[in-house]
Amino acid sequence: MARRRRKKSGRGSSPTALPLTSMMDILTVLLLFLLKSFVVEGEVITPVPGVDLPESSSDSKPRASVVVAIFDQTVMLDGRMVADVEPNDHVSGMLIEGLAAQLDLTRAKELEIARLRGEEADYVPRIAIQGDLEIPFELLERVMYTCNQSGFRDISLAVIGAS
Amino acid sequence: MQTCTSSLRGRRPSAVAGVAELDVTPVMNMFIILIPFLISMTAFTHLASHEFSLPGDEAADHVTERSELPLTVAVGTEGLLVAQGEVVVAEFPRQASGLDLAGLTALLQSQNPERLIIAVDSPVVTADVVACLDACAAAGCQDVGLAAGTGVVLSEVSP
Repeated sequence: MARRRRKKSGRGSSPTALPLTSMMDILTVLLLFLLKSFVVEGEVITPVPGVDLPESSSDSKPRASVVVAIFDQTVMLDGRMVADVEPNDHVSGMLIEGLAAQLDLTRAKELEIARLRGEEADYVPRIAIQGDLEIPFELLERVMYTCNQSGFRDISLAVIGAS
Repeated sequence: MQTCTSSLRGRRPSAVAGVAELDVTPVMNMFIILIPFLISMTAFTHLASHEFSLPGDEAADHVTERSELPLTVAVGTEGLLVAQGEVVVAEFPRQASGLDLAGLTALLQSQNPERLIIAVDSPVVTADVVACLDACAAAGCQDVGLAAGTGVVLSEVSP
């Protein structure tokens, strides 16, 4: 008994190595999962902070394009605030002047880049609208109308997908 | 069998002595830096989209007569109204939980329209518009138009 006790105390006093094998397994699986999600998802547009997108059963992938974000009364183009729309403001018709001016500039730039690349014939102006789920349709309608007037006719309305 | 056991017994001490312990600490360090970085970059929300193809200016000037309209779903703050031309087909008042989308889907499945227009009232929120587009897609409607307030078909959408 005494020998066994001595043996136990002797083992406890020596430095023991922490078994890291199970932790390594978890981290390896986690790393592979995260890398896979990067490769498969490949988000071409990122949600704009402050915009709660509506949920939808749609599973079509958004395409890389210019992003217009709408929340409250604010309209942003590629992260810059371009217009503040008052509700029921129809003095200037459906067109949102600030947005239209910036969209024209953006389109001219994109067209110039496409021309320099020699892809002018294939250039299609595309836009992705990230509209907050609480904005009235009236505002969304005006933004779509303005995009149409600036030549952006292919519009993606970003939503949160089912999966 | 006995010979084999005896030979293994003879080898064991030398084999145990030859196993080297792998030092995984640098790999662990790398993982500890890499994983929080990847988690912070990962998008856990799956983004999707509804595609719209807007008509040109010439189409925007064309106002369709109400009698010529195909099956139309009017989305208002008080609920849904389905009409064929000037004839009201069905009404789905807004319930406490929101729009009666199940009723709309069932009706559209029974009607099976080739073309459908969604006319949305101005104060209706975007979430309701998207929900209606989903209901039309669930009913199998492929050719869905979204109408502007003036009665002009503003855009075509393929859910």
